[in-house]
Amino acid sequence: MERIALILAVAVASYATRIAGFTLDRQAIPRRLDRALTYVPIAAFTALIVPGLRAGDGGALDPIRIAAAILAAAVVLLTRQLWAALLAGMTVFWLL
Amino acid sequence: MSVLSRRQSTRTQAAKLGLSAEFRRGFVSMIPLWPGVIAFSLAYAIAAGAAGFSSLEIVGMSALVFAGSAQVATVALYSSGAAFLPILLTGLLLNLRHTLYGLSLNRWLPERTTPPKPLLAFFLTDESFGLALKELVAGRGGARYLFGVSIALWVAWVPGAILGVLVGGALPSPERLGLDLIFPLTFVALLVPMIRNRIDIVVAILAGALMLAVDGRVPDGASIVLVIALAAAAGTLLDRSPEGAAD
Repeated sequence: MERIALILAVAVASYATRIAGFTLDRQAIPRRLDRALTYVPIAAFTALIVPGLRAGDGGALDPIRIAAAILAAAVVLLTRQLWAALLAGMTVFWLL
Repeated sequence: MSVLSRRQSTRTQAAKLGLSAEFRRGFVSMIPLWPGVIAFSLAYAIAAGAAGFSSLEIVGMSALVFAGSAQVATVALYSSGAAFLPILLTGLLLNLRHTLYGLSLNRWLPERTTPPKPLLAFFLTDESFGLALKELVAGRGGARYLFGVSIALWVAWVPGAILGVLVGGALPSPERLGLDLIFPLTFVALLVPMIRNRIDIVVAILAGALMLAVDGRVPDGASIVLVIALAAAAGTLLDRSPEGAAD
């Protein structure tokens, strides 16, 4: 019972964070903040990459994972295909 | 009914459900991520089972919370005996980045969308934000594309948990196969083509360096929100182009 209440509470909290950004009125957003939002994707993607380059949870940076990421970057520049980048990166990881 | 007209009526029904070509394009673009999604979902389900959650609770949490890091944190904290409120606050913090994603998507979406924003919001994730934003910025996709990528993630995430409940520990650890690497590689593939000028490079390097500095020292959800906010603010300060030129 307590676990179900906990799950429902976390679900509501998660939804609240998701709907909040969508419901803000664009007119109400200061111009400075609106400008900053154009940099959110680049900042977010980079921030999401970093923990994934560590070996295990919170471990040291893993040279093999970094090599896989660099190859994936090169492949996406050449092909513009997500699947090709994933395949190239995973191949490096499996081979090294 | 002839084959042709039957096909036509199927298509009309699909269109009624919002399963437009744009939805399908979004759905398909998420498929390369499925191995990583299912591996993560399996790992969560196994951890939750070990923490004493029932099968229904495990799958229900995947369907309703639909956020990997918050789900894993919830089961880990629960099994370590943490109280209700700290677990809830951790879940909230871990998901706070979605507010920034919603704000960011809102810049490119019209005020009224089909499907409506309250529905789009339920399925918003790192991956759907990334894939949809790329199309929105390129002017190729809108709300239906976002809905397509989002649903494609949900239909892999929830069955992944069911699979985890059913087969549990009989599987090799996803980390040994390196499937967790699919997520950082995806964000590499999304990030690289977005970098167009020197400010973009500075924002990316700054975000990477800040994340290396705070990762592990600040609670997970807080670190990512902090890093995104600081790096985006720095980009704005450096941006001296006339209004609108940054778009």
